[in-house]
Amino acid sequence: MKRIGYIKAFQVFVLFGVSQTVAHADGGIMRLRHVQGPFVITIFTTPEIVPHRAVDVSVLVQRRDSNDVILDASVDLLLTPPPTAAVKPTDPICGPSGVGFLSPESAGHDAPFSTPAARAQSSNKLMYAAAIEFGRPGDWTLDATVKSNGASERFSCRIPVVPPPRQLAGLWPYLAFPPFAIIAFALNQWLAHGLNRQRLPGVATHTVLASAQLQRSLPVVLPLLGERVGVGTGAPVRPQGFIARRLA
Amino acid sequence: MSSVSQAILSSWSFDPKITLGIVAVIILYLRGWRILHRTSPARFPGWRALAFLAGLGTVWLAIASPLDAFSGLLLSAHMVQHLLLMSVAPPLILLGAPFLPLLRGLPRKFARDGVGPFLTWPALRLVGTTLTHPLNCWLIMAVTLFVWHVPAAFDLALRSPAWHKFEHACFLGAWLLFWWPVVRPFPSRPQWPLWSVPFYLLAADLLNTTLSAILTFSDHVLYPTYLAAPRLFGTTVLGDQSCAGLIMWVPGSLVYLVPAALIAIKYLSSSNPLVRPQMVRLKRALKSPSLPVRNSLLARVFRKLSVSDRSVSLTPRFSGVTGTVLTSATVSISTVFRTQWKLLPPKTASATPTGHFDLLSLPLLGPFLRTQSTRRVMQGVLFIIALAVIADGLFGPQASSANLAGVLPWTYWRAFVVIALLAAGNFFCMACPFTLFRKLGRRLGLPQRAWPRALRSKWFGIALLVLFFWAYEAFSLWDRPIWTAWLIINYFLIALAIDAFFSGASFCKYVCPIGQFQFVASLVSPLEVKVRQPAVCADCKTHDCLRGNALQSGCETDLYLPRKSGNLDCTFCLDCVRACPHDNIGLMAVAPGMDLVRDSQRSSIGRFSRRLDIAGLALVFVFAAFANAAFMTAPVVALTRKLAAHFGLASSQPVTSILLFMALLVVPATVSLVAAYASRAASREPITIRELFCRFALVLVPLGAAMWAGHFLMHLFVGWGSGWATVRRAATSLAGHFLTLPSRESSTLPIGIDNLHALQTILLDAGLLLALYLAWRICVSYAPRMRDAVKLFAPWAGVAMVLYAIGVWIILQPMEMRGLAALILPT
Repeated sequence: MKRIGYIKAFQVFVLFGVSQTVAHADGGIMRLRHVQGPFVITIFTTPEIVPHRAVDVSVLVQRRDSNDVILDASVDLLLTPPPTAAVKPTDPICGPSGVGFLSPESAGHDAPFSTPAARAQSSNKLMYAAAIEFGRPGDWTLDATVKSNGASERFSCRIPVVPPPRQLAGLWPYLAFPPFAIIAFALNQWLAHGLNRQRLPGVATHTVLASAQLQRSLPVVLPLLGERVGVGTGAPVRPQGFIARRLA
Repeated sequence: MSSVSQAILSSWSFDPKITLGIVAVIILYLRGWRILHRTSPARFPGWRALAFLAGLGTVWLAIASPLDAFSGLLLSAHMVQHLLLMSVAPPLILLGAPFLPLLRGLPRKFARDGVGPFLTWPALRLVGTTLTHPLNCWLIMAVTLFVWHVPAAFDLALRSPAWHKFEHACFLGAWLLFWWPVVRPFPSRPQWPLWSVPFYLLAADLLNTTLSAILTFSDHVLYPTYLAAPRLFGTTVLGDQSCAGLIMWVPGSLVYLVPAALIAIKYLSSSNPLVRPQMVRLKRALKSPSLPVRNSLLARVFRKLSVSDRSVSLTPRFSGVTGTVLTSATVSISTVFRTQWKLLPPKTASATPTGHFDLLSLPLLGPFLRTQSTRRVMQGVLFIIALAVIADGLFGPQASSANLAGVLPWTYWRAFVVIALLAAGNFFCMACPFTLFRKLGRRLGLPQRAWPRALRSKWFGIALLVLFFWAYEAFSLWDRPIWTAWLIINYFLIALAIDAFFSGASFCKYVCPIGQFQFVASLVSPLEVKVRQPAVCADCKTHDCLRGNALQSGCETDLYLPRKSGNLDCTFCLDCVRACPHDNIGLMAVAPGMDLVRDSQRSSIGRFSRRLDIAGLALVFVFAAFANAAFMTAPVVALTRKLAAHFGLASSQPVTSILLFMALLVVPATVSLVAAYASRAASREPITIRELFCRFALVLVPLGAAMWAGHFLMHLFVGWGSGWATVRRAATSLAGHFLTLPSRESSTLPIGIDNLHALQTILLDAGLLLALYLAWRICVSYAPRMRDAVKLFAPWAGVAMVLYAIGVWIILQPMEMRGLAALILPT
């Protein structure tokens, strides 16, 4: 009974939350799911879109009546920059097919650009994808034109492009590595020097050396063996642990 | 097969980082397993390796196969992915008994000195014992299972790729721990008896069943993501959820129940030795008064692992217990055993090469590099390219990005040279076109003199190098094709003149600025021309490597190979290789930079600690790396302009020149002297300032090399697209219709600016860590006490870290591309 109560409560929670749900799928975040004409189209993009970084835009095209995936459609994406932003020129370099670039500035007006979306570009081969680099932050408009079997439909959605994070923030994993490595090395040296200071009085020299060398120089599986070796300066090493006591 | 099925089966996603990581682990494991299999085939049979490979393959399959592509659309696909990560991969990995093979697969020195101290650390032992306790393993599994199946957490993982990877890592890690008490990978010691394992598994299955039932029988959608996702293959959301629950329930339970049943059956069977707990057998063995220690379980294990049949006689007085535990637990013992314990047959001295990698021993490549004609061909090719650069620089369009003299030297050549230095060695000097006519110069019949004694140091080379860096900035050589062409022409003439008048490779050793740069950078190269077997050289009386013979001249930079250490002054000409009658010289792999730790007497160089000029050269190399890159950043350019305006100068060139000289000469000397004084004062070690200055100046070389590499790679990536078009234009203008090259769509290298910054940062990280490590090793050699070593180390570590911070600042600044391909970089 208690379990059913929890389930019902959870159901209510889900019903309240579903209208604001942001669905996420293979292509990232779902930006649009719309039924129009004979098509059902779902558009996904990378969750966070920042300027000057290739963003994956994926489109799933299905038949309206059967929900079957259409694999032979032609999908073109038209991106319109935010109305107040000016397009900044980039160097006129070309890239692999399916990658769109900003076109050169034309007398200070905004310059929409289009690019085809292809299944070959997508990791999920049921979808049509393109890698797009947005030039500026703001609300871009994406118009997807889908053509298949003589039918053609156009779908629109908004693509928010956020300002890029600080570059230093993006490099934090690489910047964090040296301190971590330094700490690990410092610990290694502290441990190694500690082992070197062990003395075993009353034992033959070569065995002292061997023991010290073994303990210092060889990888020992002590944690897995569960053996504990007393380490003390000047005191003989006392065997501890089940096996050690019985073998002593 | 339908097109949809084909599309599904071809939906693989390849993550290079994870794939490379898995491949690296496999290589490490197989390397160690191969060694262990030779010494103990019974303990490490082939099926263990297969199990481990299958486990890692399963992990890769889970994250790269179409399962991952559809995990966000179908919960059932996601569930299969998780099951692979939880119930298939971990037991397979543990069946491979990975601990010792991975340990043994590491470079021995690293395993011994790097990992060894951690493995004997009591705190880590306690953590290991605690983590592998069955109760803790079960609890960790349970918490992980339920936490990640909470809808909020599940959706978070679907929403964010980073969290998704973290989720998968949690599953893999938690289930590796969970299966540990069940599989009991060698050489772990079980903490609970075998009969407890079926109950352990049944308890886990209870949890699994509970969760599966919730998923299967729930009449509402638990994960909102799937509610809004497009439906595929005629599935409904609830149907997909139920299917996922069933997958989790049926196959998910089988992986617990089948091993539980098998273990229970085996336990109840009296004939199978695996049934009896090892602890009980050990107890029986130990209770018998007639059994010596050598027949203990651990000693038996040890004997199986060792080659010798001699029994281990350990006395309690010797901490024999500890020795027994240690020795029987470690299988990576070789030399220490042989020498200290005499338990294994002594290793006979081998006449074969030491086992280090030798590039000249590789088939095809080795003979190719050895032949004299190979070097001549390489020099000839570079000479032709140099001629084309000169011609286009003199007669072609004076736009640097469209001229061979602007593109090839400053975009491509610099980057390839540094890449070759860091990846291999000083191969540019091997193929240097400037020395192609050395013999021609000699044949002019002019009296050959020895290079003046007063100039037999690096000071002259330093002066020329500083002059070159100054000229680069003062005359904007990167943007002046005609000046670049004249520079190359003069370089040829000077080389010819020096070779005509002076014997040996005086130009290379004492004059050539490029050569000095190469020599310093090659101190951190992974390949070195060195002898294979020192014992062979001890018997050699002719010293052909230095003196040459009738067929082949010896080393022209006067390096005597048995006393040669490091790559300084080595031009990789391989004359010594060809001259050696014993074929005892190779291109051997070395640990990059480790030669800098030693202060041995080196052939033709002496000790680094006495060579102020070499230290000066290293400092110029290092600080020029940062200065050269800094002068390209917008803030520094703005600063120079501001200063020029402040002093009423028409151009900022004087300011640039002064700042450059300060950066290359004044600042390095001052900083290094201050650090030397500080470290000596703090540590109170009886070391001269000169020695400290000379030795520690060299440890900064890795950092300088990293900065050069990052800087030149940036130019290479940015200007990559301009190469072919420039070559084509130059070919048309120089050769007309005789050489028509096909047009090709110019492209950039597939690396975004973020990845470029990441690569540069990684290079700087490697440079910093290597520099710090080398400095520490030198400090420890001077001051065995850790406290004194730290005091000696601290000032130099500070210098290295400040340089690192400057390097990071530089790479994050917008660049003034100054005539090269423009790139809008985010500010």
